[in-house]
Amino acid sequence: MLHLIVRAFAVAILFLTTAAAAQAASSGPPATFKLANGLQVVVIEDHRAPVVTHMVWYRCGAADETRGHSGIAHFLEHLMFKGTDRIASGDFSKIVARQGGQDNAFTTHDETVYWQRVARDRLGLVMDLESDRMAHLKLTDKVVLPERDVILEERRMRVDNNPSSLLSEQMSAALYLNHPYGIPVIGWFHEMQKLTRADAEAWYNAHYGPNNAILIVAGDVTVDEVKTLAEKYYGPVAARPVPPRWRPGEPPPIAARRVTLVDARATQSYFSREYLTPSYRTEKGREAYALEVGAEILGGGATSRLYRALVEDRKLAAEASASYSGNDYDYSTFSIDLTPRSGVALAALEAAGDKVIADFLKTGPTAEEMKRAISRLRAAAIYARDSQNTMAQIYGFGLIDGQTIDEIYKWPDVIATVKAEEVAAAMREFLKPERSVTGLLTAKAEGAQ
Amino acid sequence: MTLRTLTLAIVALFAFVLPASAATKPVVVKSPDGIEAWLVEDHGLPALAMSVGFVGGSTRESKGKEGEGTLLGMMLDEGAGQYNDRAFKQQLADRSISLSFSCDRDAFYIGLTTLTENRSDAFRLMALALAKPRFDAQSLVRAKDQLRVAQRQVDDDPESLASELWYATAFPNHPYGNPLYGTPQSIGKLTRADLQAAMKAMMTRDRMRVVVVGDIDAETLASTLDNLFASLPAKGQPLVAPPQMAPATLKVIERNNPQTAAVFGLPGLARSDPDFMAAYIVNYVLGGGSFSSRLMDEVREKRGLVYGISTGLDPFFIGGGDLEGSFGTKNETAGQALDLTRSVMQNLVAKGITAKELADAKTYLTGSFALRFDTNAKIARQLLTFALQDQPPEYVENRNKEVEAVTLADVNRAAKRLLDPKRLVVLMVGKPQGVKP
Repeated sequence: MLHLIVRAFAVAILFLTTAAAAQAASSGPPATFKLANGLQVVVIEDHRAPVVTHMVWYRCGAADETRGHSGIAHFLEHLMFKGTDRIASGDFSKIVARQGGQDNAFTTHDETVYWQRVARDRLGLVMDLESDRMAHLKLTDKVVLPERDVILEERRMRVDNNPSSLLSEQMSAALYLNHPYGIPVIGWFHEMQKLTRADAEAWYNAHYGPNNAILIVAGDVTVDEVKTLAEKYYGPVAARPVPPRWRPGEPPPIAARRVTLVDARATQSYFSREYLTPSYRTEKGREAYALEVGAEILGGGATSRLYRALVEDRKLAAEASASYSGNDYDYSTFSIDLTPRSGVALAALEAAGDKVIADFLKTGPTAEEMKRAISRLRAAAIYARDSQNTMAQIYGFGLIDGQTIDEIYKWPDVIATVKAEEVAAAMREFLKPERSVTGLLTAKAEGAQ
Repeated sequence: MTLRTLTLAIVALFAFVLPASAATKPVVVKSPDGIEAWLVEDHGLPALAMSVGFVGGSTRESKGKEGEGTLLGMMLDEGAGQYNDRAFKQQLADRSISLSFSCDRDAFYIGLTTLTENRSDAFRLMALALAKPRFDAQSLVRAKDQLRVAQRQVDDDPESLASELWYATAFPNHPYGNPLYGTPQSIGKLTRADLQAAMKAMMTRDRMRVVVVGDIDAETLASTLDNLFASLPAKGQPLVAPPQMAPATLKVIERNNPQTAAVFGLPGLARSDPDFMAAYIVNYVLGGGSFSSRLMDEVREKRGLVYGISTGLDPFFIGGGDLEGSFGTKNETAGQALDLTRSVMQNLVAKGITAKELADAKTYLTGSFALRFDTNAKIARQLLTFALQDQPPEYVENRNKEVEAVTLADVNRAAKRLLDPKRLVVLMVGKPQGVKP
């Protein structure tokens, strides 16, 4: 459930479709070390431009919230910009901007992340600011209450104004019977309205500390430079007791679920399905790798089985895709998204889509399909290296969600060894109706006039 | 004040100095037949990015053919020469080549990324798409259906709808106001012959700019350019005159949404206007500077009325330009947020920008310039924008000097020219309450 909720409007955040898709540099995996207070540090060198990306990843997200307080992880992310003893409310971003830098933050179910991009010689400055708010956040109702209105506006904009977002929220709630991935990262409106300063402080005190964080620096720096600066700025921050990371698990899925959202605002109808799967952390063998290849063959782009069958041959869909990202702490999902052409009923589209899936499960991928999919996934890993920001995100998500640096680095090599039988077996195991929720969005109930 | 605060304050006093190597000046490469391209050689990755633009874009569409540019973009990778739609896409996918075509109000674009090992195939396929596009009947039917779906998706998304309808409202009698995805009527009537004609009109070499960044040398690129672009017409029709913005208006499109999506705008400045850079700084202070902007401070930080509010100063490639902004607020506070936006503008003109705001804007704009040049794909797109604005290659080295040269008198003069809240063209989608024209 990788739902990124970012702090600022109009800042593009990169969505990683092939989750762990990259090798850091031809020179080898990124360097990593730990400070005495438990802060893990990762350095991804890229000397092409005199710029660095500095990110702090906390091992806490919406799925760690207590019941009834949905949205507090994301709310606190906003409140982290509201000042410390040294820095006045709102000044954090202004100071970074005055130094020619950019900054923002985002929250998912599994992590809360703060980042800045600055010229290389400003790295010490952003470490100074970020380590300061790791230990010394200071909140007052004067700044907390207007910000609660801001996150409610954010929810209206992202979710309540947008029927397809509402459908996605309802589908997750139906897919997860017991695990908190069923609760939206941004929170349920009625619970967000009641979040208080005390809730935010309790969340901060429980989760924010160097021993619960990973510092990632990517760009034009050396490991020694980062080590010196990290010791100087993050070294003095004391470790805090952090609760063990534990979430309730899902019972065995035994019933296919359906969610139909009838919303008069939706002039374009839409079909979506999600299957409950393991993540890279919770796979027993190599199922996550196999599902990633399977998604590429079934629905990765205009040469995929779904696109060819539903868009080109049967002319039922305008868009058809499948995707899998194993970058989650507990569970991941394999999803299918179909957009019908004018005049095509969702029921007809669903039946045709199910036939494509059934055929794939029956025969498995061809040798040719395997070769092509693996080659595209490996190429994506090379393209990813063009961006230090993307590289920092790949390692951040991978590490928080339970992979090792070595596993992330070797991802392109391992994906190349995935066999057709593994793909077929994983798809057969996880693309079962009882593991799924099917979501339909229409302006009026189908069959109604 | 602790010692650490003091240190921070001192650091902030130094003017930001852009590292010399940050923004690389491209070299101009010329083919035997005289086709030019800007090249930034970088062999750090075994890949390259090419960005091509043709000034004009959807303003080349004639009446009744709205959406033609977008449809052309969708059709140019649907088969070429001996390859039908499926075979052409397979050729690209098998080599992990990304070849895309798109159209906006300013230009028609081509984007190509390829690994070095597939470079010659990438160039071959792109040349074929430009020389012998098939525009087959079955692909055309499919693309039209897809475009119809895209129109509905815009209709269902309040922010996209507000933006599209704002253009139609601001430029009602000019192709700049055309809906980018057309209308059901205009798309329904477009034919293969229309696409062929649109291609000849929109993609001409006299309006073309080419930028390449990555793993290729000048000699190889020079010998490739003629093959790539020789099939395109050398010269096209003159561009349409820049659009004039409609008089002040407030238009509401009723939608049963909890939040009103608002887009507002004013006439802007052409890139060639001597006050452009001063106006660019005015925009940064008003709403371009994210959390450093006055609108963000007043409307979001102090009052919690919006999640985001921002403005952008947009110079059109065909000349002229506008200032556009947007916000979303619950219906109950739509009037309050709009009034506040107007008063922030009024106040900025009446009291002027402070010396500190100007200094802060300069350090951000000059310092962050390097951040636009940290990936090959971003460098290519950024340089293409400069090229389409008719800037010389040295612009990347001179741009920060232009920012530094702006004075307080310049920005306050530009603010007066730019920010007249009585001229605002406003488009709202939702059920806004308390809004006044």
